[in-house]
Amino acid sequence: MRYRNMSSYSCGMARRREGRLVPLEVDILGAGIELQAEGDDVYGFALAKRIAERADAAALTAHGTLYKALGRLSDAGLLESRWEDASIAEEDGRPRRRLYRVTGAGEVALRAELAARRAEQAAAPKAALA
Amino acid sequence: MSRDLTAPAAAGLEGIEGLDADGSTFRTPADRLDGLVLGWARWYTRDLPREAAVDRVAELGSDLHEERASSGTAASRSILLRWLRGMPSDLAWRAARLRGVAIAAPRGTFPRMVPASANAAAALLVGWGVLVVGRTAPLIVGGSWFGAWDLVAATAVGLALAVAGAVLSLAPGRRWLGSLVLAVAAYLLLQHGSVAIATASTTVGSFVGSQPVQAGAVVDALTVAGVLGFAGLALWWAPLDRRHRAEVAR
Repeated sequence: MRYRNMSSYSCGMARRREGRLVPLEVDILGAGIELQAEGDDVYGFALAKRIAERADAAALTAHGTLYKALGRLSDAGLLESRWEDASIAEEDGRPRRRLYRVTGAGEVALRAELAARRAEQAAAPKAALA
Repeated sequence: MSRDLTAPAAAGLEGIEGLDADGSTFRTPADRLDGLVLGWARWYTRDLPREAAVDRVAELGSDLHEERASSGTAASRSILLRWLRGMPSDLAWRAARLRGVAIAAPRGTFPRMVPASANAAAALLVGWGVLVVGRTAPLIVGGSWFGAWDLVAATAVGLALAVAGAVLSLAPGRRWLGSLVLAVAAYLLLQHGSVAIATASTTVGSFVGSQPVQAGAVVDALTVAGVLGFAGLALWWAPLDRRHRAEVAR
């Protein structure tokens, strides 16, 4: 899987483990899948807003953090992006949006990450008792 | 990732809403804040591949517009905090992109080192010019300058050109021109400035007088190295820029 090739790096306070997604990437993929399912456009601000709503947080993800993560997920093939048609943006009187789509690989990666987290959480109490 | 040729990367920064070529139309406090955010984005993307730079600024411009449309005047505080909190990530992203450019460069080339080396060489040249002018100016003012006046003129013009070239070299799109100006400045400051300082300084003058052939050879070698070095840098950047424009035009 391509996302396993994502390099190990520091993202905020969380350090990437090989083949795993950091929390912001999980949030982006989760929010993106939700927006897609609702038939809404998936773009930077919509993702930031949905992530904040899901976490019940007041602050939106910082610009640099969000777009760096979006670029990383796109490079890994978990997201695809294209620029919206100019005519649509013109009709709405706003700048063009960069529209994202969570790919099949993105959905698989998210499911795998959530399953790994559930397994870790389930193992944690057992380890504490051992 | 799919690509749209009519995307902002192809249109250029001027096509992005809220942006003027000179950034002078941001008037309200909210507009000024958005201008600062976009100005920061233009700064940290200044020497990245054009497509990546334009896409990043355009995406940020869209984000700012969407947040203001969604939250109204309350958006300013959130935008300010999102901007400030994201700065480390912006710089990390920039560093990663520069690493990517360096890795993709042909073997034996050092694209990341060239701008830094050029700036260091320009700073050395300006420093040399300041030293020469600093030594000769008091003698001229005090009426004790006995050297040729064309040396003084060549040194002064050389220093002015060196400063202009060094400033031009800081802007990625004008590096080739800056290097060209620095090549001329290098000739004036190294060839004529060394004679001026030998005239102004008793110590340097007596050393040059004792070893005239060797001193002349050193000055000539430094002059040739300086002129060819800066001319080479001008060539380094000029063709790359043409290729870049051709790619954008396609």
